[in-house]
Amino acid sequence: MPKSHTIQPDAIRVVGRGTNVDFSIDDSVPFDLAERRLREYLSQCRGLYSRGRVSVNVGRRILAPDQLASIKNILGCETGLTVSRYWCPPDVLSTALAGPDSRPALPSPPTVAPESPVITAQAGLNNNGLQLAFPGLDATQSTFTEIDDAGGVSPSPAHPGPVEGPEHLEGAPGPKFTGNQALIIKHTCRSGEVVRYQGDVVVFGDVNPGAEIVADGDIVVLGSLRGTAHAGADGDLKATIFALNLESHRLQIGSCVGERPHGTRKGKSGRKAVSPQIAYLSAAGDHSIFVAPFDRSASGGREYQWQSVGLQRP
Amino acid sequence: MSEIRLGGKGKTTGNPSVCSERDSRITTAAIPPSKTIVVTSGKGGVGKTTTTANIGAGLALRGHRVVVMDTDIGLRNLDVVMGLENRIVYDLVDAIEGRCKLNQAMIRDRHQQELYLIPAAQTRDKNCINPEQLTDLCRRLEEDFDYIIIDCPAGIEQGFRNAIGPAQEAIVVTTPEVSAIRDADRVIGLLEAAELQHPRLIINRIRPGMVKRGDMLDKDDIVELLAVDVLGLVPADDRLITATNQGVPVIHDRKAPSGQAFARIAARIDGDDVPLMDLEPKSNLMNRVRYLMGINRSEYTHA
Ligand SMILES: Nc1ncnc2c1ncn2[C@@H]1O[C@H](COP(=O)(O)OP(=O)(O)OP(=O)(O)O)[C@@H](O)[C@H]1O
Ligand SMILES: [Mg+2]
Repeated sequence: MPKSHTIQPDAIRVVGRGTNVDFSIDDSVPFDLAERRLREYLSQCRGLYSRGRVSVNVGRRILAPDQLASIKNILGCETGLTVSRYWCPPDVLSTALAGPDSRPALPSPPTVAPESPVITAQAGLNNNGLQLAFPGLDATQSTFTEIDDAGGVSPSPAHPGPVEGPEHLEGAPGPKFTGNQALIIKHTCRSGEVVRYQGDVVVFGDVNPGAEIVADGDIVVLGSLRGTAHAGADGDLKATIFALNLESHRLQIGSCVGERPHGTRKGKSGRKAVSPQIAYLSAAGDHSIFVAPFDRSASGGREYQWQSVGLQRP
Repeated sequence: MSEIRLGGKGKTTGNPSVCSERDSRITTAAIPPSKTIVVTSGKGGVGKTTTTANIGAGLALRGHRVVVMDTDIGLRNLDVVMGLENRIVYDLVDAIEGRCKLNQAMIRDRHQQELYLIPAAQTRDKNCINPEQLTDLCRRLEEDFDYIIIDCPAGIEQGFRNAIGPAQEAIVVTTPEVSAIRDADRVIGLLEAAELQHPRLIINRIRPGMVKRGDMLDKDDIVELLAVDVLGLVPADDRLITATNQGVPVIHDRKAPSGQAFARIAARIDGDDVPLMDLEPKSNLMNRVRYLMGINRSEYTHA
């Protein structure tokens, strides 16, 4: 599990990502407790956040507009941060829109005001609907929907109603959320940065030593991978890790951890022509990690078996 | 200390009388806005204090009004490096807590009229001030000075957060050692998270001989990893140690290679286009990808 600057005072999770900060409010704790924890957390790290915009993931909880306003207010007063987005799973939104009777059972009934106007944003999958992946939230929901605190229309409802994903076009039964979107990162992931995502991750840049990428899908690094990469984190043994320049000493796919065998380290990065490599699990039962040049026809295009250093729970 | 002219710089403020005064005196191009720059590193002992003193002196030599501020509360050094230790009466914490006026905590440099030091308190700790207080203080200084250079303590805790709070720009100092570079990487990430984009890097204590023999990481290795712009390269220099022990910033020693390096750095901070030797990026596939994607504009998007 990533240690990191993911701070977890149980009710609030905070993930810093480059200039973005995502706050996630656990929907299983009472709202007032969550509010208190948020305040506590922010007063501890006074000054760490001084400017900027944040998004807040409210999880599956249905919040009244004044509760949303309260979150915004706390963040604004304690840190000067502006809340630019709230997020929640799209099915919560559509149930909420369908009417009070069909609302899902809520984990924290005392905090809900059933007759108060709930979120009335337009249901829809936003183009930027990236999952703020937090362990403990429903893993089947890989896309979150943007809502706004005025109870108004979502700022950019790219698609009214469910999205026509590729599967729909291919004639899959009924429209559905594909959950196949990739997270694209356009900056260098630096030491201390942790990215966790319930899908594929593409990094246009380097992943430096001390940074950590954990993806349920594949990981593609269009740069040098020197930090920790864990693909197929929810157990997908077909997941792969690709890098233009693979320099990590340790990789994980599913629950299998592999270590670079001695003597296979490339020379100084960036000095030689780049030779992209891909890491995957062997089909055989022992599941060890192999690393091979992406272009197998290239000279010296042989695969290396990495030393298996045992299994780790994903 | 009473001779400090308030409003001397004539920077535009909310005060209309200041504006008109300025208009009557200055007829040429607009005054560039003042800058508050933090010098930080993560790892200790890499040369932050040395860099702060020399950049401050360098900018003052170029005719600017400069304040250097030591925020290493409890472990103050900048006063010693500048040879001003014996003149300290009040310090930063006194000014923040209102025990003295701001200009009473400012010590004029021995060599330059327009360079002032605000020393750190030695008997307090980093938690006795917060970033907001320091920011307020710097905003007040910006009305009178062109540059405020903040010497940040090592580490990434409260002292670091205090020091970066008021800054509009950041300089990260590292040495060509793996541990210092790791810390620099972490600090750059934290600076970016605090919206201090595009920090610039100074690589200090380079030994060209060792680099040539392959015993020391060279500039390209470091830049390859940290992916930031280089502000300057400073050689390891015995003359720097001599100067530091005499309480004179090495920039005043014309023969010192490190002093010359700091002079060039000051010029670059000031906007001069002083070329860095051997700065051409190697044109390879990865640099092209970086270039095409405009990387380090630091954002996530979604596909
Ligand atoms: N280019 C150089 N050549 C030789 N010695 C140097 C050089 N730069 C710094 N030093 C020496 O290294 C030591 C540490 O420098 P300095 O105090 O500036 O580091 P610092 O980063 O401020 O340390 P701290 O983290 O403790 O505040 C000093 O003794 C200084 O004289
Ligand atoms: Mg110092």
